[in-house]
Amino acid sequence: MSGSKDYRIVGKVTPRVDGEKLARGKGAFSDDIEFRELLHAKVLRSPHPHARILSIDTSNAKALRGVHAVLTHEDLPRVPHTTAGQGWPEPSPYDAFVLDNKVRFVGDRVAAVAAETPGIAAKACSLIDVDYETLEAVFDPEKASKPGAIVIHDEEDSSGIYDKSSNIASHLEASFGDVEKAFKDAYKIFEKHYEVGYVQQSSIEPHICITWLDEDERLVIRSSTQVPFHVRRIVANVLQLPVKKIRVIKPRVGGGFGGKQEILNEELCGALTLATGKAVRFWMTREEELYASRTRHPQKLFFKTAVSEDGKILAMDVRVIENTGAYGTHALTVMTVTGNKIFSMYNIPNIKFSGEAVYTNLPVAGAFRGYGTPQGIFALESHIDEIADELGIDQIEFRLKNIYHEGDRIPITGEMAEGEGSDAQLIRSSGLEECIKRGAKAIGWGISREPTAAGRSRGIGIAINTQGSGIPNVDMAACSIKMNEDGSFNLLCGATDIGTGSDTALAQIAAEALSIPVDNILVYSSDTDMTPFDTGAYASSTTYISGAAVLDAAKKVKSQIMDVAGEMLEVEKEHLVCSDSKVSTQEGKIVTYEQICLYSLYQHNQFQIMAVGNNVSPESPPPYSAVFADVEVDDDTGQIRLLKLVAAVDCGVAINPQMAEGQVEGAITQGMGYALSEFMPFDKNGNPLFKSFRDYNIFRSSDMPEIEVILVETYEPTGPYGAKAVAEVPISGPAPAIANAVSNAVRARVRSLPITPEKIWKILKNK
Amino acid sequence: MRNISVFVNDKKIRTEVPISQTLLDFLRSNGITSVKRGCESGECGACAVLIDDEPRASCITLTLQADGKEIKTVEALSTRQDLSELQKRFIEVGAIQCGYCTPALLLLAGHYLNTAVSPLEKDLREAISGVLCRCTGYVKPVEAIKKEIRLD
Amino acid sequence: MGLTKLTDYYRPKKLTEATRLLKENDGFFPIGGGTWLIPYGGSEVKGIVDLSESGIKEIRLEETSMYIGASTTLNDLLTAPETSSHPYEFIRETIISEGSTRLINSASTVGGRIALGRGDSSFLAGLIAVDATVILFGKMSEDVTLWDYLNNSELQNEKHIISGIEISTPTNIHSVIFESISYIPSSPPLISLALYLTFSVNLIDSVRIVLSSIGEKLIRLEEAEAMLLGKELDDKLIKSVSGLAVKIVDPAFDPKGSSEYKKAMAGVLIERVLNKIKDNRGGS
Repeated sequence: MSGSKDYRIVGKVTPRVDGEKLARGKGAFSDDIEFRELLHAKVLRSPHPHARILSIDTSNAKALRGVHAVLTHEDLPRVPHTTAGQGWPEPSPYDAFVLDNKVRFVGDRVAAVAAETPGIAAKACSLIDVDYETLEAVFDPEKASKPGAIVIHDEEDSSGIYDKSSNIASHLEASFGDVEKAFKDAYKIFEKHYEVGYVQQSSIEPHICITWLDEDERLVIRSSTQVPFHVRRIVANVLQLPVKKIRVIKPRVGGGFGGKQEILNEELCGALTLATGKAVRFWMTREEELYASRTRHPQKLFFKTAVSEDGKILAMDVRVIENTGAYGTHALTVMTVTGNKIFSMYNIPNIKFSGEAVYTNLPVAGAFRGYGTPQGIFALESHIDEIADELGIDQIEFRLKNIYHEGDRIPITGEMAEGEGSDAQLIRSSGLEECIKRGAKAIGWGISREPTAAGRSRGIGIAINTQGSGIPNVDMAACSIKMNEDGSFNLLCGATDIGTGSDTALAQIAAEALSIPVDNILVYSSDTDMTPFDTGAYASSTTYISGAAVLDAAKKVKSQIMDVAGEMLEVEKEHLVCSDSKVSTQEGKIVTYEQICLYSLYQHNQFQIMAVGNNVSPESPPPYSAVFADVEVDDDTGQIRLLKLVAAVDCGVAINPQMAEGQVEGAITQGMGYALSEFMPFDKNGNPLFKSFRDYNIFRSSDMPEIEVILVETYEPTGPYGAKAVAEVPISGPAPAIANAVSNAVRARVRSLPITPEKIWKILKNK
Repeated sequence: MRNISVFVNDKKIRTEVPISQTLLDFLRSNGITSVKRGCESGECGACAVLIDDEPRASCITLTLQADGKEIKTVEALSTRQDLSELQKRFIEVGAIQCGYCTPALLLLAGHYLNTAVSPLEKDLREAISGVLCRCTGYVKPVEAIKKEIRLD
Repeated sequence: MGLTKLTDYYRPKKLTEATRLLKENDGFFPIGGGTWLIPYGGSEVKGIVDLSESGIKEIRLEETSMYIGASTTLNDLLTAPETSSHPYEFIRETIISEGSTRLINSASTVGGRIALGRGDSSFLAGLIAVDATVILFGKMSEDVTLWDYLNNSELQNEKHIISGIEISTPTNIHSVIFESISYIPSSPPLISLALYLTFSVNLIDSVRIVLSSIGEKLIRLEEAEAMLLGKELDDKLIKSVSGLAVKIVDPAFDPKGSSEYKKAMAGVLIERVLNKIKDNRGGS
């Protein structure tokens, strides 16, 4: 087995290729360019959770000076679609319209304005007169799926909805083994349920796009997106333009976390450009971000688990009720991942999973880092701790007794998958045990620690989890590499760096394969006119899927380089050695890359040294993480303070260990927010109560506990240079690890998120 | 409209601005792209600038409040040739991910380093707590800033 | 939403000028830093009178009191040497607890906080606990305590400019004791308590119990204060006082903490602080 030590660039700290421009604050982001006569878009949003629009009078708005267009559902083609930026055909129901004659949550779009200033656009929105027929609204998914509940998607032309009349967007079932028999034979059975609510991605750069018509009357979309190619395809569909009439440019993106895996305003902004012929800028305010963009799916998870006397898990039955909000974007696939990851941890012979994604008149859930895993893992890892406690087995020992190991297959992955599906994943690399061991040592497992003050209790908790590396047989990446006459190379990739550092990691992979320094790779990502296709930055796919495409292209280019060098040196290419931007014969004759490229472009048998690389993977190797929390709880108030968090992560060979650490640090911080401070409450009419960062509290620098990140290196034979994914896997651990630590500290088991002082206090009080 | 005169990164700008214009809009319309819009209520801090050497959220400051004053943004930290030591540290330790909050973090960190009376990590974290970062967990930014602390 | 009707802005050097502008013009509002008015003000704002250069930015420590000018920012207070140690460190503690960021606090002023008079201001709660007095420009005749000012809407409507506050130096060994509960350190408190108590020999001769984040306004538990006054602090009294607090506190709706929880916590925090005072006296 090889590892990072065998490489020149891979596995080594390499400064980001984009570091300097970002440190200088250069105008690299969507909103950083200027236009002549730019118009500003504003959306009139529904004040009602559920209503039919009987009529809209836009005459006053249109009459306002500076207003260039006002669009309502009457002005646009009615094309049912999904806003989810997924592979085609999308697995999400086609239940959305750019604008509709019905609104389904507070914040849903009613009309859109383009005007000369944001202020005029806002004023115009206030002048639109809408006559609503308010409808009964339903906010609880369990009530929404009961007979007699009001139907949220009663339109005839939506499709792909599992059961419209019951508000069930998607339904999922999977099982293997004989669960019923296992429950009959069990030593003990545990039944518990868990609940997780709405949280929001909160990238610091909100959604922003600017659209205009270029000199060929093509619609150009400059957007902060994770999925430029899906944007092109879906916008073409809903605006009924040929794909060739659209160009999507993805500049720097100020964070995505799944929120920008969505066609959220590009179509509407494009429609305003088509209506006015002018450039239009659509900026979502923070308030809109917090209730009218996308969120994580809330879920209720019901667990029933059978164990044997010696602590083996015999059977597990999990039922999930997922709230997808007003639209079913990512509803099925998020739930699939929930089930998939719950059953990818422990080797359980008999399992059953069922889930329903239900519409409600609340904000729309979508993709959010972890994609169903944080929900499932909070429940699973809390549940596992409860069982271990009940059986009187050490929590680590119980986990080790039941986990999957290297060489095992994970049957659930063959049962539940996106697209055409895949074979049950074979675990070719697993550092899970080592993650657990090293993490336990770092947190001081088994060593009792004194609280820092009287009246408080201290506890330690663990949670382990996994994720995937891209979607098998679905995620596809391509790139091109072109040689320049100074020995530099253009790497054009569809892969979308949204702040993850993928441009750097991909440049490292190319540089390693081409035997050149990283700064001789000029990365450009991404532009649908210029760069080859890539499904986009989601599902932890970039390093594993797009990285392999880069490796493919680099190998092809290198082969061309060797061909030319062989011709120049008059030696069979098998006898040539390539290193350090040059090719040499065994006798020591040398040609440099510069000479090779000049030769190929200007001298003999001229051609452009260039290749396209492609990749689709039939596998999605699991990365692993073990997270440990050290917490302190105030015995009387329930106030929690995090003292330390350890995250040990197996992401295969980390292409860039520093950036991999950065991914872990960011993901666990979001995980801590999920655990302790982030939630989205609504009043009884579905109005959002938190509209700013004053109320919606994400972690600040002063909130951070001591953090220790451990990268456990394994070698994944199917990955580029042994790499697996890293971006998502660490986010799921903190919430259950903290819940388990709280339980360890004060014997209070909080089965819902966030874990608040009040929830702890209530349990302690009722003891 | 009102006439104003401000120094932006040592360059004098005399111009006319709308009374209700925020300093964020003023700076961005004058080509200062490092000052970012994130929440427009001061909470995220991506719009941080220094006014007369005091950190301020430019999205909740009127341009007129800065009339007659000196405004510094991250563009002032470096020359065309060279980055500041702190910027180099940020790159070196991997403190930049998406880069959207980076200019604000650099400005507040620089201000802390120039005025700090205490080298305690707690105080450093407090000093930059007005800037939200959703990518890094603040681990590497804090590491970068700590490396630049020099106490005489 | 937004300052759509704002057509005037002044930054007077003198308070007389500021007063004139505010009195003569409807829809003119004073700002310290503007951190509230600029993002959240609406069409009622026609003009802004910026007090930042009106000569009231000052922290002055005197023999038995401290004066804080209204344009002093919260950040000035956080970094001032005067608040770094006993008996004024409660000022830092209460400001940090509010959950407002350092960046915003470098513009937010003491005068602005008082003018807003919000019920979730731990900072104001601490000031009320020490009977801080508000100095109103052009209304020199009487000192009015911060507590009275915040509860006197008539006086507030007279639109005097707040030029500063004065605090008598706390004389007991604890100064103001401050406790709060929050989800995470930077998030605004679910509830906080500022308590100031002095003894004359063994009897309590003054006490202020101020709670914040209970409702739109700050809460002073005057009944509980009366219960303590003139008594010796013992376990039984502490229990009765905290019991009373639980009974009389009536928290408004807050998605982050129920009324039941906040009531109970009012009792827990009061009991905790009083026990601390009692234990320290026992030990000294």
